[in-house]
Amino acid sequence: MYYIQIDKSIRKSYVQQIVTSIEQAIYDKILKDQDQLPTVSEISSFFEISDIAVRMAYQDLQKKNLIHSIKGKGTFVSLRPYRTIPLKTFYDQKHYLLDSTDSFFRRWLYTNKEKDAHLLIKLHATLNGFPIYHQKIKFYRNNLDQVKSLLTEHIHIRDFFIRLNHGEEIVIDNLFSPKSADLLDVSLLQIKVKDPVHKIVTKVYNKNHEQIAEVETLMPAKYISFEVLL
Amino acid sequence: MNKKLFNLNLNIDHRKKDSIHKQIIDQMKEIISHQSFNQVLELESIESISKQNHIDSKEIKQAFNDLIQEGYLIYTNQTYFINRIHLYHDFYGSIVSLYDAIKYTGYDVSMKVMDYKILSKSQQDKLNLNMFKQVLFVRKLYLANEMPIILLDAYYDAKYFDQPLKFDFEHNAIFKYLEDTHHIKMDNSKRLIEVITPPKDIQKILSNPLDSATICVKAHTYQGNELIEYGCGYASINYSIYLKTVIKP
Repeated sequence: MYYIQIDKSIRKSYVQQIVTSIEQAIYDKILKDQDQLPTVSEISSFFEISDIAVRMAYQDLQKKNLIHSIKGKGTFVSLRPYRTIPLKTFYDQKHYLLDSTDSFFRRWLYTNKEKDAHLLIKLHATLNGFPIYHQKIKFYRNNLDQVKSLLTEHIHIRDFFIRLNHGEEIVIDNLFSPKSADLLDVSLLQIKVKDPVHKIVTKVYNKNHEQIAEVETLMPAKYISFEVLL
Repeated sequence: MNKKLFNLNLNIDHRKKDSIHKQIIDQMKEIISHQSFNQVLELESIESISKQNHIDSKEIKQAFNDLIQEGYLIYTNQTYFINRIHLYHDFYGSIVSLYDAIKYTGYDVSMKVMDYKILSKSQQDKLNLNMFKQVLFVRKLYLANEMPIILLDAYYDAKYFDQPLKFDFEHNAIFKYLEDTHHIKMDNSKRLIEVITPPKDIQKILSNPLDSATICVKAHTYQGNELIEYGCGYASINYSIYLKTVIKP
């Protein structure tokens, strides 16, 4: 509790003092994601202040999405952003996530088995330092040279597919299914084993229904959900 | 239920480069993909499969667990079943209602009302449904070919029902009742699609493995700005959502 400081001699409300000291502790990385905070009565009895002030401070922090409380367990720091994405704009809108992601990492590998020649690209994006999605993109057919040249430019995946298809329209099939995190997902998405994961398999076709690419996206489901408006 | 015991013949080669685990999975997928769709197929116990095919039962169990995760098998009442019910629901296509989504696949669909009651104040607080004075709760289970596919918990404002507990939920559609008697037209709906690990009792009803992740759809349905229905649908593990888009340059 040492990171909470209350100075009764200054003219600043207790609520404000508790909020700023917890915010400062998060900023200084003394408090990390999922760390447990002291209970309301622990703080109020330690500093000899009223319960209400502490409760109001916690409510303030909760509104700012910095902490969350679980009934019967306690209050925890939550630094991972939670967001809802419109289902319809998945792959339909430019930069739906990339705008807000702070790191973007790609790696590519060739597989040259006779039957299944493809280029594999791995994309990994994080937000506030936490993984937000992990993508594996497989490119089929004989346009691998074109893929390679396009990769040197920094373009969004949607434009990438259209340019790969000579500027013509593309058809996209998305299949959203549930998955329990295995050990690989745990390390990729920074979650726990058996945590729920969104698994989205996307197949990209040209007008003649020839497959251009296949994308597998994994997202931590505790922090991402999709919204539908009917 | 039309059940049949399925005799499993695996052909495992111990000298092969592929692991036994992979061989079991590949062969099972091959076998399952060739089955017809009108029966529920029950597998023999792991012990007898292991005896017949001379494979370590641990290997089989591990492979079966992976096949459950991928939706090829179902484990319920200590028995493994071959699962061929895959439901794709297209939220933006022609199939909007869940019932249509199941029907469209050609399965034999049925619905069972499992529970209905007026919620207590504390249960109501837990759900944050305080805009309703009294909450009517209805739990329905949808089955396709007698396999549970969706468990739907719906919550309504009890003021629209004269005698809420005497309503015939089995045979009357609540939407239609509200439209006919109170001229309510639910004109906008917001749905949230999540992947969660449902509570144990719900997993049991749906015959899901206990710690498996499933799709959960939460729906708020309004007339104008007034909330009429809040619903929460828990899906069995083989329920997926399908979305097709055409992107023009």
